Amino acid sequence: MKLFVYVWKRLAMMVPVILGTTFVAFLLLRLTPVDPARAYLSVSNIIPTEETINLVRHQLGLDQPFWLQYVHWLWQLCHLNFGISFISKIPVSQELVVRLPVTATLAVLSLIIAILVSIPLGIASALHKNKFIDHCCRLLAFLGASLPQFLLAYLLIYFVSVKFDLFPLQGTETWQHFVLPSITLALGLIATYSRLLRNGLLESLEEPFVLYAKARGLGTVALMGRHVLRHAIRPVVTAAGMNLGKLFAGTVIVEQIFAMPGIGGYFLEAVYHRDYPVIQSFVLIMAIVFVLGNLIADVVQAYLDPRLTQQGTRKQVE
Amino acid sequence: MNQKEIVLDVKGLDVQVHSNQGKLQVVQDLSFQIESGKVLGIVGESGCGKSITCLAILQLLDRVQYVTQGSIRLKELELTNRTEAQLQKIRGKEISLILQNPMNAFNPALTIEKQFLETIYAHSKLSRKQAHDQAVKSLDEMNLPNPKELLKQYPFELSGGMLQRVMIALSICMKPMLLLADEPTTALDSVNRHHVVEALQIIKKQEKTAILLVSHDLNVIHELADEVAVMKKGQFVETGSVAQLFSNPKHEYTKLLLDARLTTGTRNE
Amino acid sequence: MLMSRLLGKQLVISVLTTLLALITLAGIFAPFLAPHDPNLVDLSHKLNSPSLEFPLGTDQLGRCVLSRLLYGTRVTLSLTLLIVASCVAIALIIGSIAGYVGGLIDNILMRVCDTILSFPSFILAICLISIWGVGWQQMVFVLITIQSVYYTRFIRGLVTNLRQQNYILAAKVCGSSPFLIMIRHIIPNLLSPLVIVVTLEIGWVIMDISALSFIGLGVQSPTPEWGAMINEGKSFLLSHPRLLLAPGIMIFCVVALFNLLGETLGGKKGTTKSIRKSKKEPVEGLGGTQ
Ligand SMILES: Nc1ncnc2c1ncn2[C@@H]1O[C@H](COP(=O)(O)OP(=O)(O)OP(=O)(O)O)[C@@H](O)[C@H]1O
Ligand SMILES: [Mg+2]
Repeated sequence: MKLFVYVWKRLAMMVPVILGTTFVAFLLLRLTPVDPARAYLSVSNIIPTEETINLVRHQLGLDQPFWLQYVHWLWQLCHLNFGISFISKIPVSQELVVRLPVTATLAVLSLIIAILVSIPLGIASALHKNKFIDHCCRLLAFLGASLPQFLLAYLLIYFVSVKFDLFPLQGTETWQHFVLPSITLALGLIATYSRLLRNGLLESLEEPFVLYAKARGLGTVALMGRHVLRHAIRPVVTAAGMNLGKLFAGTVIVEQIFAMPGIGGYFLEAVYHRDYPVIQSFVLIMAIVFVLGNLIADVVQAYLDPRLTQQGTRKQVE
Repeated sequence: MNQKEIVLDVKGLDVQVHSNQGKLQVVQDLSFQIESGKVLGIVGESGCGKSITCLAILQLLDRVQYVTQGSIRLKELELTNRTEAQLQKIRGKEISLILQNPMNAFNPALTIEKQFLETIYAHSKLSRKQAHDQAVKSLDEMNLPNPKELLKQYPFELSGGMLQRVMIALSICMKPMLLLADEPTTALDSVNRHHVVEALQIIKKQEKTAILLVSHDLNVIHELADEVAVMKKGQFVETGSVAQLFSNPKHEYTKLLLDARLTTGTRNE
Repeated sequence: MLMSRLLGKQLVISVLTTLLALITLAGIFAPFLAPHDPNLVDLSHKLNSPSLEFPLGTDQLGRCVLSRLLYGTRVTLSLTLLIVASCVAIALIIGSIAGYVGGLIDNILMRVCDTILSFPSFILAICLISIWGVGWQQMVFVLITIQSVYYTRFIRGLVTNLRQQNYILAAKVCGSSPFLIMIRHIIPNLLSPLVIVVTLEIGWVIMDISALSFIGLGVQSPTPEWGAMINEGKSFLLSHPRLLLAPGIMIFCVVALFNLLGETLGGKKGTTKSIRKSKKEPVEGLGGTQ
């Protein structure tokens, strides 16, 4: 129940953040030297004359005051209208419906892979501190910090797909198509999470409540699962929440390499041609994903540690 | 009542710590016995090795870092060469521990009930209902108000004094032979200290459990203990019955402790 | 970390610096070292295998890969230098003023910084580039904007700490002007933590530059830049993997060398992680190998 109230509160807090971000993005877009009307004309292959520019300005509502444009944009958003792409002249929402699931699948899949792999890895390196496996994880973490994602993607393609012909290369038709891209995205995260978990585990093994749980004669499973891991995994949860946004950004690169029709490629195309409605929608989506990722992490966090939701509600039983 | 049985028999307990500063002898040649229903008090300055002794009895010292020698017998059972699985069955059931700081001894993420139940499940085959009843019963025994409500709470929702009593209730829940109380009153104010002493007195009166009571507080020792051992730098410097030790201390260090108590005692009154 | 324990910290540091110095020199003297003009298109030599004339072969337009690599070092390192130097300059000014003056200005400034820091830097970078437009100038501008926020936060923290130290209080009591205190006492004390952090951050800057150029948002095509080179060579992954591997290995080596150096310099816990920590983003891999 308290968790429920907490979630509502957090959801309410999302709104100003998203409004603020989109407002800043909107403002910055209008402050750039390139006139959206000119951008529109140039992608439509129309020669920009005084006349055509004015016409397009009027069509796009650019002759209105800035704040009215923003309110208008918001109002359209409420009707799920993201505007119409300058390039394709197709509503942005139509494209998003097709592309967003691809990107989301990719991002969520890699997050899941990362978590599933790094938990045993982190546990193993905590249990064998400063032994072989721990050093391997350390090396992995170092590689994760020094190897750019696109390079990793090509290495994977070259060695896994080409040399051993294991997974298909490009596209999104089957689940196998998602394997290599998600591994690419996950590998860096695995490095981070397994180190985080390892350090968390080593720290929580020192906690007094773990000593007390041992003194009560709890079995290994109960001790490790309910007390140690539950405590140690909290930094990983926070990191995962923050990384959801980062993963969406990472897909921009990975989708290019694996030729997946997600929002990344759509966005890049829009950036090259200054397709304003698409750019605005992308910034909006990024803001939502980012805030949502943090929200989910906070809710899981609150479940793992009820102190976060119940603070200041100390009941007196006496 | 007259057939007193020796519950804990420690002979020549030695503990060495291997730290990065080298080896360190923290407990040296301790020998003592506790009979059921009796309370052995251990007093001594901070860092003299009291907590280490308690953990050594429970075999909870990390075997890489600490080297333990000597014999620890719980009734007929030698504890020093048990496997981890055997020890798990003994910890919390035959021997239970009360820690100094109840605020961080409980897992903040679990309700009191969960922590009771997991302990009961670890040592018995009771159903959820039975286990719950048992928890309520032992909280009741410790005169804790409103046990059912209490079980639903999280540790951070309770005061330190309440939690300490909950910890005592949890420790006697499985009817252990031996209770190790490591400074149970140090973190508490005087009212709560009184409650805790009362709770321990209840356990003592039932004459089933032997208690090892570690404390800085000589008043608490005076009220509860039958015998007292004075510890300094890992060794017992003086042992004897409470009356004897308090009225006629032999060792310089014991006198010092008693003096310190007198001066603070008069100031309080 | 393990390495420095085995070989001694000083030795590791000198080896790493020497290697990095060599790479930098190669970049500086690229015009003398490079066997060919990096942008000379010669279709009669396209996709040649390594030979005496073209030590690393040629690309799809017949350009010498080695020459492009050398010039690429130049491009990447000078952009990195530009970005890092501007960030440090901006951060030194804003960060030390905020840290030294404290109060409301400091509060507002740090709130703004925290808000920006709560967004992952790569998203921020591509969103800002999408707004300001594509090109290396824009990329540099965006990276400076984002990075200087991190540095400002970091320096502000250090200065706030220093301000409360006794010798600075003493200098204040003696009536030294704030400017003098800054120059004499505070800035010299900032240097060593700053060097560590800069070393670690350089790795990230290089990765960001190459990633942005790879997706075409940064340095543009004919200019030899490692990320852009990989992008150009990507269709030849199967037939001529060296077109990707050569710049890839360069990126990896330079970034890894900087990271190793930063970690070895950092040594003690805390210093190395501080900047990434202030990003609130647990990038453990960075300082985590200690
Ligand atoms: N891992 C360790 N490394 C080094 N020294 C240790 C280690 N563990 C225990 N010691 C030393 O052992 C001694 C005994 O510690 P112990 O916790 O038993 O003291 P104590 O009598 O319980 O003190 P207090 O009254 O403060 O609780 C201390 O002096 C401590 O320095
Ligand atoms: Mg102690």
